[in-house]
Amino acid sequence: MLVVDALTKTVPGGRRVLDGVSFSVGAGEFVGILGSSGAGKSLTLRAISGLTELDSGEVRFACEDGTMCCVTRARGKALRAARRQMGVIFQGLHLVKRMTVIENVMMGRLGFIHPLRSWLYGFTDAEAREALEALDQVSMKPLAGRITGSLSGGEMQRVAIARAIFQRPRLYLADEPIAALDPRNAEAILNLLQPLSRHNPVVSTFHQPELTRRFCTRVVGIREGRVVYDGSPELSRSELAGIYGIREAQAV
Amino acid sequence: MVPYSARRQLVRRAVGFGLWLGLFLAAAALCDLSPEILKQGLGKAPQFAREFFPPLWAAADEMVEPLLSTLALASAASLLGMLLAFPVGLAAAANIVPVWLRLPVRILLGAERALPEILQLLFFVVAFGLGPFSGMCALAFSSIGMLGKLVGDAIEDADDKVLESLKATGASFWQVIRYGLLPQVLPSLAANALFRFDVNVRSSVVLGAIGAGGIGAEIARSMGMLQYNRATMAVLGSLILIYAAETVSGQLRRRLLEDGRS
Amino acid sequence: MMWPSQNARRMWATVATFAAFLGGFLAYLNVEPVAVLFQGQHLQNLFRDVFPPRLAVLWERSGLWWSVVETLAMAFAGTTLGLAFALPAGLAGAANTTPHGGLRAAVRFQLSLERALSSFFILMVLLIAFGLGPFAATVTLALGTLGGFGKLFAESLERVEAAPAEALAALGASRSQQICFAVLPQAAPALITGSLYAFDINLRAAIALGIFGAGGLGAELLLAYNTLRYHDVLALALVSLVLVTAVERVSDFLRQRI
Repeated sequence: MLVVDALTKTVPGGRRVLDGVSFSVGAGEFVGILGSSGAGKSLTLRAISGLTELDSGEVRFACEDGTMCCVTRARGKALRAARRQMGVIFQGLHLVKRMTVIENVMMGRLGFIHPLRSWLYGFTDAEAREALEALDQVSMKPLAGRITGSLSGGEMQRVAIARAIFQRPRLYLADEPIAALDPRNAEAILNLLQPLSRHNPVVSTFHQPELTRRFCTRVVGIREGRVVYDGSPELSRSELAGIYGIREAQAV
Repeated sequence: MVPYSARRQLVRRAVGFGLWLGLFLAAAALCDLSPEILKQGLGKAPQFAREFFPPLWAAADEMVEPLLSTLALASAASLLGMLLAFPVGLAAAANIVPVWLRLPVRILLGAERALPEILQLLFFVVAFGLGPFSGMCALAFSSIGMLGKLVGDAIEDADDKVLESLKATGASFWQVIRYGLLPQVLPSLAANALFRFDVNVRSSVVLGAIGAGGIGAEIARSMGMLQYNRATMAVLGSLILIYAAETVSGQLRRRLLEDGRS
Repeated sequence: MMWPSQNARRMWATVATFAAFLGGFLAYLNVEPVAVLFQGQHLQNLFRDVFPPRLAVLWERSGLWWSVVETLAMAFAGTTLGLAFALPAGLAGAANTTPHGGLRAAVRFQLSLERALSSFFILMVLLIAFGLGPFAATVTLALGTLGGFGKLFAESLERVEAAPAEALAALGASRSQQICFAVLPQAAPALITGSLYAFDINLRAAIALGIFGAGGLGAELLLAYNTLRYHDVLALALVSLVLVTAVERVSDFLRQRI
């Protein structure tokens, strides 16, 4: 489904922020990427959707026609074709705050729409109805007409998920989907993401391991740009120390 | 039910664009914006290029005196404007003067800013005749119009606690203003006055053409006598003046702001 | 609190320098300010010649209202024409929307050229090229608007949050779609405010350019002035004042609604 192969990236200061990151994701998986801040979790996710230039390494992804295509080397149309199969759930601030909730959801399918049509009048009524269903799935249907900027953080996160659902991708990528949320909201969001992974795999980064144990099928631990753990979400104390370092592991 | 309708979206955009286009076409018709005039004018372009270029370098030394006169006009107007802006600003501040004084002053300042400087110049020419003095009056007045309002706003925003504590020490009205208000308002007034100087230099070139003398008059006269390359020379001179004024004013303003921070 | 006497001395020194400069400039301009201001006869003349405004001119001259419409039309056409070019220029000149870095630099340079050339000189040249009339003024206004607001638009586009556009890129939206759905909606309030402001400025400029020979209300003013009908000039000045203030109020109202 998705193969991440030896991603390497060096920042101008000479520091290696990604140092041979490799893992693969198959159907039905909910993969949690764990690590402390600055370990390279988010960067890995950005590399998968082709938002970051890499020094070396490859991301391969099963495309529409079933063949594996290389995201890392794709440009222009090919890159867009790969990207529209990946639903990215960023933190809430990635929504356009001045537009309505339903418009933000419908933007999920921009990659499939001819640009000319999207400039002229945006979206069709059929798409609006579908977007409403997607919002219903995250129980945001009553707020569909609201201006997005007036929502709370948890609500915005739901809208971001609705956008990804509406996009109908073959893979979901979520970047710290629960970072800014209180425990109850965080659990609710994960309860939305988990069923999605039954049809299409979900790869999500997390700062803390408590909830990954309950929701993920697999955990990938990253430390200083290297994969240090890949396996069951039931992490032992020493495995946690391997991901976070000893002092921080005691804290979490 | 669905808070989105493609048709409404399309209609809204079409109506908005159509309305805009219709208004524009009507306005364009009123302004004789027609392709023929454009074609006819553009046809003259090569001939223009020949007549305006190269600049008449020989006339360069004749431009120095008018340039200095324009600079003096703008500087005098800016200084006068800055000096008078403070008392006017006092009279426009709600925490200093009663409403019956503030309101008319504010209205006058607003009217002053609404009228183009050239129009004001016409009245000063009626009073004082053609010449730089009328131009200076027009620019000084519009400087007061802008700076007076800004000073008034700054005074209204000023820290009342300082004034209160000064009053509590038994300072007189003028002492409170001198030691409590002036230091709070002066830096921003100076910065705005420098900005205004930049504007005044530009305007004084334009006003010159209508009767304030200086380089503007030189441009207009050269054009009138069909000595286009001489006009280009004068324009070049005025561009240098404007650029220099902008640079100096910008540098001083930056230094002023840095002083204020440290 | 101490009274800083050194500060006081510095202040008086500054004031004295200012006064000296002012005196110097006035002397250079051959003005004797005391004589001018205290003779008072000049101002007396002004009041006698100009007051009261002869408001009768408002209904006597049938062409007057037409000239007001013409001034408004010049301002509107100049603004929309200028903005129609300023928006693409802004898009090309903003780092986050420009198709190419080289184009951005070129556009920025071009815009700064337009700002540097005084509108008055442009008008002079255009008046000669296109003849007396509102056409030259409209083009002048459009060029001035392009120079000033192209830069302003580029700056407001660059100030927009980058995250939403990136999110759209990540789901496969093209560059133009990112601009259309993420950048422009965020910048819209700034762009609309800027456009209203441009119209305000251009209305004032349209009256001023009229006095230089571009027609409209300014031309009426110049005509009255040249034929020494000063009472009419004051009445027409009041008309411009009302016009400018009214437009300002309307655009303030519209600005508050967005």
